[in-house]
Parts: sequence; C-alpha cells; structure tokens
Amino acid sequence: MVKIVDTTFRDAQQSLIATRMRTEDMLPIAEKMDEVGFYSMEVWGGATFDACIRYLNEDPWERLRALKKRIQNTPLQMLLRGQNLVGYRHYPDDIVEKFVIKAHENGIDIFRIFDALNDVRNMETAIKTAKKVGAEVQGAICYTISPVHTIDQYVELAKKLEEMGCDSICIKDMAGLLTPYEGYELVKRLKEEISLPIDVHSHCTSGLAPMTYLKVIEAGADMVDCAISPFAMGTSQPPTESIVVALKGTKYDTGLDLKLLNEIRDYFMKVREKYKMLFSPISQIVDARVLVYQVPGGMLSNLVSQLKEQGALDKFEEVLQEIPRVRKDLGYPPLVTPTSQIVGTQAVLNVLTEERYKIITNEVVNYVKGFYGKPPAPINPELLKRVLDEGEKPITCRPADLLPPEWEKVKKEAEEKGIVKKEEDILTYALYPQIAVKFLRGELKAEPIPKEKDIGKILEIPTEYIVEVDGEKFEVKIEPKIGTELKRKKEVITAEMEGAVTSPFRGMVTKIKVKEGDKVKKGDVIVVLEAMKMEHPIESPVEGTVERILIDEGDAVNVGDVIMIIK
Amino acid sequence: MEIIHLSEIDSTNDYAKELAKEGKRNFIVLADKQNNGKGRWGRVWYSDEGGLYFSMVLDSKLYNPKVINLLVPICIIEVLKNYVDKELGLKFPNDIMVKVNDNYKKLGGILTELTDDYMIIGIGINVNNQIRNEIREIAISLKEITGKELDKVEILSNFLKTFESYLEKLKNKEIDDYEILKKYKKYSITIGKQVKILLSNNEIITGKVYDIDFDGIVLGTEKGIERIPSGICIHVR
Repeated sequence: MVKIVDTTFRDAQQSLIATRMRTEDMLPIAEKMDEVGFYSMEVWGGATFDACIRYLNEDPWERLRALKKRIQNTPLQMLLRGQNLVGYRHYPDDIVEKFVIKAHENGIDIFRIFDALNDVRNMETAIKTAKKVGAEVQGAICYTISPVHTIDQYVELAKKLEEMGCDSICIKDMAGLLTPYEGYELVKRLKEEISLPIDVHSHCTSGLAPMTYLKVIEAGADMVDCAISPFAMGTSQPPTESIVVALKGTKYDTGLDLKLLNEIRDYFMKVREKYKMLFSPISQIVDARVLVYQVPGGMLSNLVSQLKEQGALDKFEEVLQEIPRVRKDLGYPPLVTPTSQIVGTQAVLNVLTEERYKIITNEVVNYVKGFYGKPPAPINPELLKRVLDEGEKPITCRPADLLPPEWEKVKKEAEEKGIVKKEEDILTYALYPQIAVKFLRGELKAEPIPKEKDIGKILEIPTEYIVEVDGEKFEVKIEPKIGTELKRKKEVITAEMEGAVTSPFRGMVTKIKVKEGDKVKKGDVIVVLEAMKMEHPIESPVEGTVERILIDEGDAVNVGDVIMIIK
Repeated sequence: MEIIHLSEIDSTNDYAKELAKEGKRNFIVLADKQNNGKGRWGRVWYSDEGGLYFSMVLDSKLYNPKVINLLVPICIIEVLKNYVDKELGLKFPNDIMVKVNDNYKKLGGILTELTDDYMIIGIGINVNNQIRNEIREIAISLKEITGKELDKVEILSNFLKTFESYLEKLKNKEIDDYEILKKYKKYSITIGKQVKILLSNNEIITGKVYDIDFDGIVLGTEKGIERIPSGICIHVR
C-alpha cells in the first residue's frame, strides 16, 4: 500500500502562487482533508514562514496552531532547511534547537530536513533536536543532476541519514529532474541498502513526475508527495486523484476515497479562482527545458516575479541560460532554497547589469567562503580569487561551528524593541530581523490579491507624466479611479547629470554606508539594497566625493533612480 | 442570573437595553407576549401568548461576543432536543429549525445587539403559541410537534443551566472556542448547501457554503472563495 503526502498548503501553493495562499482559505477545508487519510500533510516551513510575514501580514505560528486544531488525525509536516531553518542563512545551534522545539510544540509532527548542498553537517542539530522532542524525522536528499552527482553518492548519503537517526528518507526532486528509470534505480538501490521507508517528492515542471511516481512505486517507494488537482501539475506535485486512481486495485492501492477527494477538489477550484491572477502561465505549462536549466518549481515562479518586479520579464530566457553557468561556477549545488535564490539572483544580476559578477551578492560571497557548507564540486578558481582577499581561504569546518549562540542576544534585543508577546516572536525576529519588527509592531498590511482589472489594461498605461505648463514642469501621477495627485518638482535630478549614481534594480534601501562629503574610491560600497529577498551592496562606480545623497534608509527605489551624486 | 418576568412588553430587547444603559448586567427580561417583537433587520417577530420570549444581557468585556453568538443557539438546540424527537438544526445566521416531513421549519430565532459595553441576546421560541396563518408554511411550534403544552419557564431554566455550564467550562478551559465552533457546525444545516444570501446593501450573492466560522460564512462563488461577515447577511435561502 502506497501512502500519499499532501503538499497543497505548502509546496503546491509555494510552487504555483508564490506562497500567497491565506490561512483563511485553508481552514474551511482543513477538517475534511484530515478525513482523507494522508500519510501526512505538509503545511508549514519552506517559504510559508517568510511569505506569511512579508506578504500576508499573518503570524505563521498562529497559522500552524489553527491548522493543528482542525487537523487532529493526520500528522502535520514541515519542510526545514537544516541549519537555515526557514530562512536564508545559517543560524547558530541554539536558535535551531529553539525553533525545532517550538515548531513541535505548536503542532509539527514530522520534520522533513534537508541541506541545499547535501552537507549532513548542516542537518545534524535539527535532526538531533527533532528526535529529542519525539518528532518523526525525514532526512531529505536533494536530487540533482550534474557531472559530479551519482546514484552511489545518494545511497551513501541515505545511509548516513539512517545512521543519524532519521525515520524515513525523502528523495527531494525539487526541479522535477528525476526520470522514471533513474528513479526506479535509485529507489531500488535505497530499498536494498537501507531499511527506512522511502518518500519520493517531485514536481511536474518537466512533465516527468507522474511517470516517475509509477516507476518509483514499482521499485518500492512507500510514500509519494501529491497535491489536490487544482493545485497540482505545472511546477507543483502530481495530482492526488490521478495517483489514487492509477494505483486502485493493485497491490499499491492507496485506499483513499475518491469521492471525498472530489469534494476537496471542488473547494480548491474556488480557492484557485480567488488567486487565479497569481497563477503564472509559465509555471503551469510543462517545460522540458528545466532538464537543461534545472530550475525548481518554486524558483521559476519566483524568478518570474523577480523579473516582473525589475521590469525585465523579457530577460527571462537569458536568465535561464545564465543559471547553469553560475551553478557550474559555484560547484554544482543542487538548486533549492537557499542555493536556488543565491544562484538565481546572481544570474539575474549577471544579466541585468550586463556584466557577469559585476555585482556579487553577499550570499555568493559567503557561499564561496564556505559559510553554507561544502559545495559538491570545487568553485571556479577565478570567482574564488575575486571573492577572497589576499591569503584568505574558504572555511572547511561545519559553518555553524563558527556561529556564537544568539538566543539570549536576540531575546534581549526583541524585548527592548517591545515586540515580544510570546516566545515564538523572538524566533520570528531572529529569523527576519528587519521585516519581523515591522510585522510584530503591526505596521504591515497584507498585500491585496491581484484582480483581473489591475493587471489588465490599467498597468500597461504609464501612470507618471511630466506636464509642462507655461514653462513650469509638474510631475503628475495618475492613479486608476482614485484621481490625480500633483507634486511640484523642486529640482530635477536625472541620471544624465554628472556624477549621478543610479540604482541597478528595484528594491529597498537597507543601509547607506556613506555621508555627504565623504570621499569614496571606485568599488567602495555606498549603499546596501534589499531586492529579491537578498541584500545587494552597491559600489561606487567612480572615485570622488559624495555630494548628494538622494535617498533615505527604508526608501523604495526603482531601476534607474538616482541615489547619489558622486563627483 | 436574575430574571425579570413581565406579562407583556413591546420588545424584551428594547426593555433590556434601557436597563443595560443604566449599567445593569447579567439579567434576563422575560415576557409572556411582545406587542412589537423584533427580528433581525427591523423585521417583525410575532410574539403571541404561549411563546418563550426573553432577552439576556451580558457584559461584552467579559465574554467574547463572537463565541456567545454561536454558543446561544447550540444551547437552545441541546435543550429542545429533550422535548422533541425530530431533527433540529441551525440555519445561518441564527434560526432554530426543525425538520418536519422533510421540510425545515422555523422554531425560533435569535437577535443579538452588541455594543462595546454590553450585549443583548434576544431569543424567541415558538412553544405553545398559535402560529399565525401567514407564516404557517415556514414556522411551527413545539406544541404542534409534540401535541402537548410545554412548560416554557422550565425550558428557560434548562437553557440557563446549559448556557451557564458552558460558560463555566470555557472559563476553566475545559473546552475552547474551537469546540464551540465545531458544535455549531455540527448542528448547521447551511453548510454544504447552495444558497442565496441577501446582503444588507440589498445585493444578492449566490454560492455554495463551505464553512462557517466566528466571523461569518465561507462561500464559493463565481469569483472564488469569499467570506461574508455574519453582520451583513439579512437572510440565507
């Protein structure tokens, strides 16, 4: 009998609608889903934590508790990025421990733990803690294809995870690269050489997943990850209903009730309708090119929205071409959070700035220095040289060994800021210090769900004009329906002016590193921008004096906005 | 809870409100008949002699009105269950229904008025009263169902017992809000139905009811999943 892991509330919606599903759309159907008899429901972790706070103004901890109330028979599962938890950097052990304990307390029964580089050292603390609190631990292997990845290696990795105490093994094929026959081989070998249940997690991005599921099931896979049909296929998982029917009457029969699944489908069709403008055609149509670029489902929809945000959707193809090159330079990391963001954002920058590694993100710098763990293959020596200082060497120890405990420090900070109502708030702050403060102070608003009319005609018409009246220029902003707003322009500063430094992308100014009057050298970091969920240092293009600073910390800037005058 | 028993009054809710405004809390105004009984949205609630008509005033700072709003109909059902052997159900937002020959008929209704300081919960139950001809199609009395006169004061005191024991359990954390919601949903005859909802702005919205929670009703409409706050639903068909 094969069991189904339902991913609708986590990976499915993360892959298809950039994790924007609201809790209020999960609760009405949660009890019914609990009746189905899934092996587990993946409802938390991955990008849901970040998206809750950043876009939905929802407390992820409250979401978990509300789901737990309604889902009492089916174990709740989360995706945990090893030492990265649900963030994008390594956290010290004490934060990892605290997070796992709290996640378990609030309702997580099964922890699926992975490391983007398959570096088990980064999974140790999370696995140990989850075992200690009595949770079930699923050790995940990030599946990828590269000249340096082999089935033998994956089997060795699984053995290591078994030794570390994992209760089951997940083959996490986040990009949908696993082919039916390769999958068959892999699962067969795993079943022969280890004694744990095997769960296969794939995405339909390349169209292979449903076929692969059948073959891995024949090879002895115990569980497969699926999503209810309105949130299946495309960059998401295969549909539960189809797999249930495909296996019916065989020795693999899931035993799930199709009628009940159809009632659930009926509900999610309505949810889908609500979010329909968030479904991107790019993430819904089978794209076998992924077999070349190896971009996971969640990353594709993220890339689309990053490029949209930067007004550069036309560069999508170019970015897709650049991704494998960056990946090669970085020693073939599997592409999954955070490596997918690290590679993806660097690729976007390489394309947008029209010069490879003109801007190198902090994350790439840290990656190259070994702070994310050991890459599967050596890093491109030229990139290594560019990033490292004279005589500097990448680290070789477990990255978290270098991180001093943080809990007491962040606890004190958070309490001083007056944002702590419950212990979980401290963790939220530890994970996302900037956005968490705003969130916990109640200063954030949920972004609206895009409606047809917003995306249709209105946005294609420019909304900002310069109107000249009797020689005087006015900047006019036209907003649909609401009316117009007049702002007298005091001084015109354009990118053509001498010494104007422009923003290379759209984002938020998180730090201004210089003051007016400062002397800077070419290459000095003058501003740090947060864009595409990462921090990007902006370097001075020239040597000179900072004459004017035209932005403040916290400002939002657009591509091409003048941020400083340096002469 | 103190009970003020009147033989007749215009409206128990209005009378209770006068006292509530003076600061009085935790009491019940009971009337044998109402001359101007009110339903939701200013509609008439026929309140002829024989029915049970009362209004309860609680401090809205002490209780979560959203929970009380669901708890009251649950208690009514649980009490009436002991008097009739027919299926009882709750029609959103706040009608007490009974199934007679495959048809649901109205047995009672609830009208809640809420301010920051107090909440008034008006309850009308057709006990022994003669149902007027114009609403015989849609309403019924307990007497009609059981064939005998019932003691309405006993019904009220059973209701109070049930209600207060729930409040006690909530206070002691023996049960939580979610369990109240679950009970309400168990009795709901609206969930799963295709309905037409008349909204307070006279708009009509149609769809399938997927869920009811403390804030309102979850409807699957043409535009997708929508939430309609209870407060703006005039009636559901």
